[in-house]
Amino acid sequence: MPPPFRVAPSGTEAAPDGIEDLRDLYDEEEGEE
Amino acid sequence: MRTKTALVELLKDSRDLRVFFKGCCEASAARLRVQSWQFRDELADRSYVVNLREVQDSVFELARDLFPESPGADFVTWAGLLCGDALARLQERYASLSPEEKDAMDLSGAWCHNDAVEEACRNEDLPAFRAALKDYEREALEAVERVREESGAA
Repeated sequence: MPPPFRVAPSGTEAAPDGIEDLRDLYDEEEGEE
Repeated sequence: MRTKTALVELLKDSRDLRVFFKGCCEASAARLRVQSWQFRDELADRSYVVNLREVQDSVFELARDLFPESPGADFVTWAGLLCGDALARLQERYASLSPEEKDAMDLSGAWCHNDAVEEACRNEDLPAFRAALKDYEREALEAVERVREESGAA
């Protein structure tokens, strides 16, 4: 029987808050180039 | 706050660091790893003090989040760099053994960690890989010391 939840790999942090903002900044800056 | 989150905040606040981080990712895993001290120092300037290994693991994860196709996000290369360091340390100790000691060396204790190394590789989990490799190296170094003690050289 599979576990009732998904086990995240140990030591790996989920994408933190703010990473989408950072991604947007990179996208904007790439558009400026 | 976790290191990766602190790095995100750092990069959001500095265009220069964003450019630098992206450049490192696009150059190579080795470049990103070697330059991790700069991110550690920038974090320390913000009173977030953390060891270099944790910064390295976090810049790798961030590279995978932001630039997954870049050389800096390549797990195999990162793992190879860590293995190279560990093997160099082991080689240095192994080279000090006599031919008889080398023949008598028993690495089965280190091999017990092969499964953990393989699992970390399957998951491409760098912190877990680093931990498994450290266990492997510790056991191998203990095997070197054991064989030296048994031969009376220690």
